[in-house]
Amino acid sequence: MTGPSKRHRHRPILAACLSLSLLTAGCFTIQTYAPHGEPVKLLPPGQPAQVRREYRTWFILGGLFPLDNTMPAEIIAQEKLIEARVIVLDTVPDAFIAAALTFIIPILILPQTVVVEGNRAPVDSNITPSVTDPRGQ
Amino acid sequence: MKEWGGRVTGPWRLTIVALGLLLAAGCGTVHIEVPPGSSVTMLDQDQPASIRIERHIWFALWGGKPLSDNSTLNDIREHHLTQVRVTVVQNFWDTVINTVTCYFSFVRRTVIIEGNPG
Repeated sequence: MTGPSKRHRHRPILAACLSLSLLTAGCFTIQTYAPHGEPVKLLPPGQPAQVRREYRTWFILGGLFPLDNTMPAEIIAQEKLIEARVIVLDTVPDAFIAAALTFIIPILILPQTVVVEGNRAPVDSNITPSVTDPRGQ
Repeated sequence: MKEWGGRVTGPWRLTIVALGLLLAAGCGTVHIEVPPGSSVTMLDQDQPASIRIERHIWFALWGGKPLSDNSTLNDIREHHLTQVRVTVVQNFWDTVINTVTCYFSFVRRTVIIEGNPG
């Protein structure tokens, strides 16, 4: 009996590669909307922003369920931004984390990096602030 | 050591799995921003929107190089939107397509822009 043909020998590798892609590619959703309250203007590119927050939001089971569900609106509300722009990133560290976690704990935990940049309302010129916000600038 | 696929053995198998996982992960950046000089506000989560634009963004080199426009700027300008809500998503079909294309370095994302013109 002869051994398996070259085509058949590569089938398990192909199947493994396709399975791995499905495992790590995953799904995710990042929604950018305004928080309740004051209207928020979107910033154009290049315009300076005094606040920059970069965070990872996590998904489980290939993105089917969000773990923390932190959307940019929460950051905008926390930072009291009146102008903002959002960058949805999938960074190289995200790729490493997804690959490593899938390899170690195959429950398909996927991170997604989000950057929120923006400006707060200008302080009223008649009121002198007593404390400078350390997060400013 | 057992053979796998006829030729690939232990250490190589592990290497292929690790590389496969890394290749499949992919990257990509989407900028949610507006044209300079415009006044565009964000829509609330539940506010109605009269315009809905859904398009795919392709990246080469696992997200390193965008092949299509990866910013919302031109969509907002073209449709004269003054209120927007943006969703960046990697949906089921993106995942299925990326499953094959990621091995050639191409990955895809979907961006959905909802809004109202001024």
